[in-house]
Amino acid sequence: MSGIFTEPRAATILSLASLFISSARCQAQQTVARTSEQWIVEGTVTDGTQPVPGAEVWCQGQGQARSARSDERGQYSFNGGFPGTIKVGAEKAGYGAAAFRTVSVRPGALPERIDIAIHREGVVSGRVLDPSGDAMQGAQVVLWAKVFKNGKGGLAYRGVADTNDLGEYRIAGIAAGRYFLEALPKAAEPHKAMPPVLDRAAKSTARLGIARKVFYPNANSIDAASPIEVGSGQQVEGTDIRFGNAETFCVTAKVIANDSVIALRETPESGGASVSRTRVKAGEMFEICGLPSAQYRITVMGVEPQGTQNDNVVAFSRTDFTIADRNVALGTLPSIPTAPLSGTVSVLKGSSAAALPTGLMARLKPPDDRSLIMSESSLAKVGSSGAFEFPNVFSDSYSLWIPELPRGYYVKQFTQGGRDVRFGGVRGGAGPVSILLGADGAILDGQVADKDSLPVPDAVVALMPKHATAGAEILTQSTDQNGRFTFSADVAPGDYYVIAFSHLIEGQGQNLEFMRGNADDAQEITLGPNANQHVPLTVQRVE
Amino acid sequence: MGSRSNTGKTTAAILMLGCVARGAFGAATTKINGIVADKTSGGAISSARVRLSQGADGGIIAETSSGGDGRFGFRDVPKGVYTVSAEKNGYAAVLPGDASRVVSVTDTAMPPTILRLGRGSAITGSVLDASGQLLRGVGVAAVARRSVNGVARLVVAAGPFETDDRGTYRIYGLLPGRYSLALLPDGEHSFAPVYFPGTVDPESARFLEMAAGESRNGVDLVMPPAATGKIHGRVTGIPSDWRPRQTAVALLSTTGLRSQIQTVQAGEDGGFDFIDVPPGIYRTVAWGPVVGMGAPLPRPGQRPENGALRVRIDGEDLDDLEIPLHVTAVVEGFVQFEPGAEPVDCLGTGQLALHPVDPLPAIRFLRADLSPGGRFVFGAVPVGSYTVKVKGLKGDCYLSGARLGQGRSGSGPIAVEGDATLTLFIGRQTGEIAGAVADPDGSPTPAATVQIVPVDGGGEAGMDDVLIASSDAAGQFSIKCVPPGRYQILALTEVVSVDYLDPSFRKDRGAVEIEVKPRARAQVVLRVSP
Repeated sequence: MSGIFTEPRAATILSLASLFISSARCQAQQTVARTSEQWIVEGTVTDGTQPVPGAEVWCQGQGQARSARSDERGQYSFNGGFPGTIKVGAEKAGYGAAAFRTVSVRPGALPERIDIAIHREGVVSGRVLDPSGDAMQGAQVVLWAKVFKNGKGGLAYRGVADTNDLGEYRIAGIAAGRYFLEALPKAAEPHKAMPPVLDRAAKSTARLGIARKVFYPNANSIDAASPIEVGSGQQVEGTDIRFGNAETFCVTAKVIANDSVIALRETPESGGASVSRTRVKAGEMFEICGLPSAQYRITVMGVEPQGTQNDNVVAFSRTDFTIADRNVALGTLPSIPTAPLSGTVSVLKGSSAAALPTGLMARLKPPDDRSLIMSESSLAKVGSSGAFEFPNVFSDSYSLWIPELPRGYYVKQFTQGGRDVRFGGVRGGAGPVSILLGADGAILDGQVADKDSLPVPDAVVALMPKHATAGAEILTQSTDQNGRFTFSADVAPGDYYVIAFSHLIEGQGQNLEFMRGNADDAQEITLGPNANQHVPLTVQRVE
Repeated sequence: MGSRSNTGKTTAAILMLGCVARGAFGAATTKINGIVADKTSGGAISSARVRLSQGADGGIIAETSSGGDGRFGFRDVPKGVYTVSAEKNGYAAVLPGDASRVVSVTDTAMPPTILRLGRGSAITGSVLDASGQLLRGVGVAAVARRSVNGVARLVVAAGPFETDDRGTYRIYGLLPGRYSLALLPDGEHSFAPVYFPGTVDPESARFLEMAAGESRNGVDLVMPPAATGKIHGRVTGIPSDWRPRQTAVALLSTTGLRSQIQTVQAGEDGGFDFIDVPPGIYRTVAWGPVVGMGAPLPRPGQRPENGALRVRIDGEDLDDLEIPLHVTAVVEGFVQFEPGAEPVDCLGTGQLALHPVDPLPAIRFLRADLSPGGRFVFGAVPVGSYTVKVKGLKGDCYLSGARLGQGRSGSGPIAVEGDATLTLFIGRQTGEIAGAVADPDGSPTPAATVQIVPVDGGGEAGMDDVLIASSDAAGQFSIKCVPPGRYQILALTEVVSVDYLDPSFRKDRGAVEIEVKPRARAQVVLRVSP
């Protein structure tokens, strides 16, 4: 298992921020032009058999993000003016995960009937106990599902709860599936480091402490954990988790430039569990104890007090260290000021349509083991000259990409200081990035059918370069209500495998090993410059 | 001005030179031993977390756990002054000094340090709407009456805890005392706070008396139906270089609990709407620029802006509200020492707080650090009135007054209207309270606990602000080193709850209000209730 990615106790420094984040998805104004021809998508939200009234239904794509509620018969309806592909989804409290469908729309066509099934929520509950069997208050219990992320095996967070004074936790809103439970004790609090005399006397040896994490029922890694099967609408009770003891050690360090928020967690390779998150003063040596042997990562976020609503993060660094069998002194941790990250997008000369497309955006994503920090840049407009700039970027390793490239365009080359950063590794403070687009990309469309030649909606179609070296090179698409799909951008001319699957684990289509293992069932296809090809596919069932 | 140093904790804990615990770190070391005990039963408490910190208010330097017999120890502790404190989930101190003691480590053997913790209590129940439907995801808090900025108010004592998928909540870790419950609005739910058992009127809130370790079940709350109104308004004076939607507007309750009922972003023209507003008196506060979500950081020197307006809603819509923004003020200043108070004796790692008299969104108070030279800066103070509180003054030093600009020095709130210099006066001319405790028949009452609660301080008068004395065999007590100011004094034969922090409890029990003057002794006669 290569890592735990998502951080449930999110790294938001400013609580106010969440307010403005939550409004982003569904409340955008309808920007559809008023044309005489409209498309209509309508249908019923069901629980598999019965209609579900009062569900939140949303629709995204083709310039809109809107939401509505299903009526007393479970029905909803959306309309719009532009052709293309949209996603329609539904969710409701009391039901498990949101469900969504991929739908192709065409103004003036007959209304598309798209039903969406959501299922009664499952619940997992139990108690968390300390090594002596007593209730553990304030522990965090996280529900994980095994998925694929960026082409690698990983865990996706599916729910979280804190234990109360009786050690009880309860996680609701779960879809049917197979899960793993992890419990983390209360965050470790840093101390002011001790005066030297006390330090020598009391701190030279390991101390018996509580383990920093445990997987249900009492395993120290997810590989040794027991899975929990949750059926649709099932209440799984009595899943008690018991912590063990571990020899623990301390780490000391300090920051100099700014008062800082310090986040200590295991490295993704060690499991990624969060250990401590706190604010420390500039120049004051601090100490965090209770750390069992593992590899850890300490992230420094230097803050500048703003007096009132929020503090701005103005400096950043991360330092990895190993706790083996003794205490570790890290000395002064670096704290590197945020800097702008600039770049240019250009189109390969000699392409037939060498003009730089207008309206491009560049998106920057922090590494998987932390979330976006308030004041950190994430989106920049690409100007008419091709230049873009993110004003506040940390000295961290980012993924950068151009979402929604126009038809026929693809990323030919993407470098920073001569390094290839197409699949991640863009560093703040490491100079400008340069993105070269090709305009002679191929277009591939097709239809997915089952053995009986019936179209298969919501199948995953994967397009993998024949000599792919990274999962991120694999493109995936969902089929629409008629089993159709189109890859219209990001397809460089070359040799490919193309294959369609009926049911995949989240992100599995971008897993290189899985895809190579299925290459025998794939179709081989060569796409020339500016090619426009059509391919019929038969769906592959995955167990 | 009732802003205090931590003399309460130190005087309650040990005898010291004058009013101050003194000590220097030295090479010679000794042990600190002690025991953690249950406040009510006296029994041992095992697995409590015991911490040793530097001085009377310094950082934690070592940590241990109490054993099965409640005992703990720190070895090889150099000479000096330390605070030893204990905590355990489900327990808390009932009186100041119970769970946290200042000890002075000398060469001689020390008596064991006894720390006392009270068992917390728990309340569980369901939350329903008017039609009897269970509500999930609603925050429930325990609320109590406290003195805030010198006025009796409701404050959140524990929580909020969200109701689960069954519509049930559990509030725990409550100290013994009187509590009501409140449903609180959050980002997803917008309503005025609802008090137990189902009223929006804070005066009608029903209170529960919780004993140590008690568990009360079936305490259900009902969300009442309310005729609501709408508010439409406009924020004016938005600087032209802000992006649209960098202005936020909050609707805050002013009666009962202070809570943020709704928060919205202003539109491009500064317009905003609050919907479903129940009847009541509110404060609407606009502020910005809101950073994040791709918006740039403020330029150096660019100041936040803020504007506020009081509104009353009684079922009718309000559609012409106009909130002008004002640049927030920079309040810079320094402390001035009265004769006898020297910087070296008073300033440690001081922290200053400005407590808003009227509620502000997302801010309970503004804080600033006190430099070793006694200077401080508040970078962005919304226009309004504030009380001042200083934390971390050493020994018997206390905040004796404040002066804004060229105004008069006084102990009341300061009114910030723009950039200004704030001068804080630090005094050491503490007073003394002496008195006698008698029962209703007039007989002297020995071993009564006398609680001295400041009532004109900045912010909420909490346990750390309370001074404690004990009556002797003749029913007499005296306490020195009391910062001048107004106090309510209460004598109890047995302290079983934290209700001494509740102004209405103090009134019921015949608390006496006195004023302590510098270098003077205030005399008081107290009656204990049967």
